[in-house]
Amino acid sequence: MEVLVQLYTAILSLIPFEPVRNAINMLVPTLAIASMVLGIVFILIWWERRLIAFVQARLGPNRLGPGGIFQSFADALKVMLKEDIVTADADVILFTIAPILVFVPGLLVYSLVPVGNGMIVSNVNVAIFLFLAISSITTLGILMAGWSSNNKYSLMGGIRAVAQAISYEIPLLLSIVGVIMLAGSLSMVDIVQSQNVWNIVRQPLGFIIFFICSLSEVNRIPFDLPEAESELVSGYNTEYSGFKFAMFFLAEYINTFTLGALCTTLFFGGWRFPFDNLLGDIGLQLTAQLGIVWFILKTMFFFSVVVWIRGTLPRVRTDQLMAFAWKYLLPAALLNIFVTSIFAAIGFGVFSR
Amino acid sequence: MQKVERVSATGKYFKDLFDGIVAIYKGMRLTFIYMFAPKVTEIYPDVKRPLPQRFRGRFAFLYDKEDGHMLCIGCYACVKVCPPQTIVLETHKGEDKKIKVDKYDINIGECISCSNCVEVCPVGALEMTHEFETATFEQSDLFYDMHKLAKYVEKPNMYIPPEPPKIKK
Repeated sequence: MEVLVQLYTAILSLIPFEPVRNAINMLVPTLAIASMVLGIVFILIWWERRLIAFVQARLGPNRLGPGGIFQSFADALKVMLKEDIVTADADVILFTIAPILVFVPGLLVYSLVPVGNGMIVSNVNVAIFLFLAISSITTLGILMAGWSSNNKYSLMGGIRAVAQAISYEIPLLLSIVGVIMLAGSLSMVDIVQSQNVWNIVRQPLGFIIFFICSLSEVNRIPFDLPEAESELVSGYNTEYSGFKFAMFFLAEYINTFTLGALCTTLFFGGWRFPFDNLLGDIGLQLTAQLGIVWFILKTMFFFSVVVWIRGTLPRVRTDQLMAFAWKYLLPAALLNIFVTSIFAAIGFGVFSR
Repeated sequence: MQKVERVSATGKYFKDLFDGIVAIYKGMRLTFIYMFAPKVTEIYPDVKRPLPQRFRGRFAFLYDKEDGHMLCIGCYACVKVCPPQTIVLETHKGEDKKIKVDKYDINIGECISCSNCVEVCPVGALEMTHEFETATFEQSDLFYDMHKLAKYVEKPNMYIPPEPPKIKK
């Protein structure tokens, strides 16, 4: 993979004009990451359906291609051929903007995630801050979809999404503070490079809080109140069909993959091979050359855990959801910050920088 | 008198937390085991489930395997016993004064697979096969004549009724 980056840099240096070079340097990695994510999403949809079927002692889609892997491509084709229905009395402008507003931030945040050694679109020094800022736009899109549909179920879903996002964003942010303290930086690359010992060892409580909160942020079961099928038909996307619905659907999977990517980056050493600094030269080579492979494997693991949770837990009630965020997660996150700051200040063992 | 346990608010807080963790652990453990459990889905057209020996599928009209003569003697027993009256049998008396069967038609769509005809046949000239995928695109394809129903066998399919249970005196 390092070879690929070097090759790209070499080709780039052949281009004479600086503005053209910069423009291409902006475009190529962005398109590469975006197409990688969209390609992975198709596999994710298939993998989720297979895994959830395994949990329920079924087989899942297995007819199309090897193990049914082309099923999601067929579904995508079907959804694109469907009629694009707009409800009577819907707010057409908002109705059209909403899926874009949900879809684009999900894709945009991948410009901040390092997928391999040196494979990052823009190494911003406040990456985590920007990441959370961008990804919270999604909630606005969901509320917009709920409001503009002119449907009480959709509106209910949108309202729930906002209430949930407000509650869970706070412990989510606080749980990352411990990681930032240990790395001494907000940059994703610095955080990964600081993890000679994976952060999960230093921040187990922080990881649990982070995982639960991000599960809620991406509206996955057991926190899928905005689209609770059994209560709100399909929640905020009830009135959507065709390609607009596909955008909501893809955004959900992209966001779940983002959850995995963020867990990997912040707590499981990002693109680094496990214990690469202890394995010596081999470990460092594995990290340097095949970083993207470890990153995707780790992220897929977290995605699988999310699906496993989906197969196990029932949906929480709204009051339980709120109580859990404010009564359990928030104090725990504050405790985590307190303990981490003490250990980081003393700086013994794995907590030393 | 039942003893009522009084739990403080703090105690309840930690008890709820602990109970929740235990419940989630139990559920996650169970689903993890099920992930690797054998699947109940049948991959139907590829892998077919073995049918029971006396499965009543499509009905067959038997011919002898060696010389190819039909086993049917044209006694009309099956026609009389058929509940939906779907068997059409036509015979004539040949020159050697033996009954020849001209026509043995059946509408598979009407047949209720009751197997009465097979049981009543005195020479064992009928059989219920294990074939059950008889759906067609045309209604006319459901009409089976004696050639379409033909099956060549070595020995007649004599119905042996199960032994009646013995009653103690």
